[in-house]
Amino acid sequence: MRVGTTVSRTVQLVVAVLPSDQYSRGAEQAVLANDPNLFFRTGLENICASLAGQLVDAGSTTRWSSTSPDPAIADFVHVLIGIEKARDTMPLTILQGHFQAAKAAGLSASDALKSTFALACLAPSVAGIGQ
Amino acid sequence: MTMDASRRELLIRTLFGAGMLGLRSLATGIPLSILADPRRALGAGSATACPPNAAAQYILFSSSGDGDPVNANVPGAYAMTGIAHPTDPTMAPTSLMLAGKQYTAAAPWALLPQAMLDRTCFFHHGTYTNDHSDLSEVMRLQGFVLQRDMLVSMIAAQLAGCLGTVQSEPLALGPRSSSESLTAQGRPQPILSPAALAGVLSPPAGPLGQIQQIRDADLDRLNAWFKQNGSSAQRDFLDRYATSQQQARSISQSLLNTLANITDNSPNSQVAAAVVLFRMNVSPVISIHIPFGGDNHTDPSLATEAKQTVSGVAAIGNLWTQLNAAGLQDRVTFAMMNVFGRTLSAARNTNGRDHQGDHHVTVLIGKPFKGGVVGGLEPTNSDYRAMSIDSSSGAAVAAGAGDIPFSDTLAALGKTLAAGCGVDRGFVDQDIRRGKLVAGALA
Repeated sequence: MRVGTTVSRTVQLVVAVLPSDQYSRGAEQAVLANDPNLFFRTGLENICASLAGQLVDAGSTTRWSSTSPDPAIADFVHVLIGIEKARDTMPLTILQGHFQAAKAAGLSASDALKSTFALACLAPSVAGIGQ
Repeated sequence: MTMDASRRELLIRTLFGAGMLGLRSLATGIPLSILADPRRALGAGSATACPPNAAAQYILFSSSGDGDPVNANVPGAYAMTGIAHPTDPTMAPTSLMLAGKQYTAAAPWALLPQAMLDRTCFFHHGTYTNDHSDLSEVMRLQGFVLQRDMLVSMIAAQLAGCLGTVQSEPLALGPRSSSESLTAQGRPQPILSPAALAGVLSPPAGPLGQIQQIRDADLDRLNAWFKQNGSSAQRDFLDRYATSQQQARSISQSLLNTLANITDNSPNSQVAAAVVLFRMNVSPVISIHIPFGGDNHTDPSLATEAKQTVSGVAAIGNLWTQLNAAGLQDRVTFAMMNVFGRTLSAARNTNGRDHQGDHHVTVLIGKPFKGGVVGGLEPTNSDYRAMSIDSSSGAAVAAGAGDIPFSDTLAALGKTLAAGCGVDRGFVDQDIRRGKLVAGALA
């Protein structure tokens, strides 16, 4: 997915309600929005779910495929969540476990990997990242 | 994107860089400050401990940076000749009763239910600015709220514990521009639109929504793992992040379905969404924007003023209907305060009005308030300004002889609203450094 890609209406609506960083009159440093409140949490979950559909099993140029779940999940941990290989055991276990649990709950492999992406996308190190 | 792209590049391109989802747009609102540089983050909210309090009110707060001409057509503005009013028949001067006392106002106000009028207070005061961009300063009572917080944010923080709300910050549903946005302890708050609420709050549709509980449990495990090695600031963030998840799961599906039926951002939709959010117990204060004529410098025959006063008062009447339907008529106070009023003199205001920081009328409607008029107006130079006020009766006092001088009338309005809505009076005097409570405005 590249800059200029059109995202879903849901994502556009959610992004529109997130507060902007801004400068407050007379303050030398920016005021940064830093509250993971109700709207942030639910909004981010909907963004992640929507983007999962555009990044997992999304046609011939898809970023990740459910036919190769292990490399995808490793990418989620190392690249998305940002955990180095030296200490990736626990997050890998959690994400792989989620993928299996999702399939056991009746989801297809594709939907299970999308849910795993959404889980990684909601990880605090992603939710807390900024510019 | 190559497989060896850096994490930062991936995040920017996939999560933060896509189309309308520009980096700045999404990065804003993300709690980067805690993890990236806690020293730059402002202090966390400071909701006070507060026992359940039957006097505590939710507040629906309408504000406008346009400076709408509310002050021209309400009780108190007909007490003297020489003030311009729209000539449209729908705005004819009409008698109405407020808690047993007769006043004159534009006809739309007289159409409100008597039970509502009996708890409607028209508070005349100054805002001391003629600049549209100063709405945030007016919301801070021109700097007289402790730590330069906004009045509504201070009230929300004080009442959140009493009401048991999900959050202690006010919610902004109606702002039309950044100048109408809210901050709480300096932190900008989301600007929500009624039509977007269901999309924001509802769980993901389809299979991903079906296994939300499994994902929540696994996210809890991830959070716990992060927490093991986190700094104190990161652990604090993780606690708040976990709390936000609990809040999200406590939302009633039936109320979400009600929100889903709201398809536009009109004043009536703002009112409808606000009532649902009060029923969800999300926040003590929700701000909306009900137009009452706007920035009407050029308004032939004051026709726009007339039209929007009719529709604006109707929206307030609709609020009463909806609050009664929800059983919240005694729990929600409506307040309408704008950046300034408009000039009034009939000698120069028949086809539009200019900014008037010396006179504005805040409308307070709620169980804690007694129907009537607080303060009034007097001629000054080529127009009018708010008079000083007697704090015990609320009566206007000429020539600045009241114990609330003109310069303190805005702070007095703030104290009266806060105390009326259940904020401890000791806190009120501590948190608002000027003015006096107007006892005569309270029921």
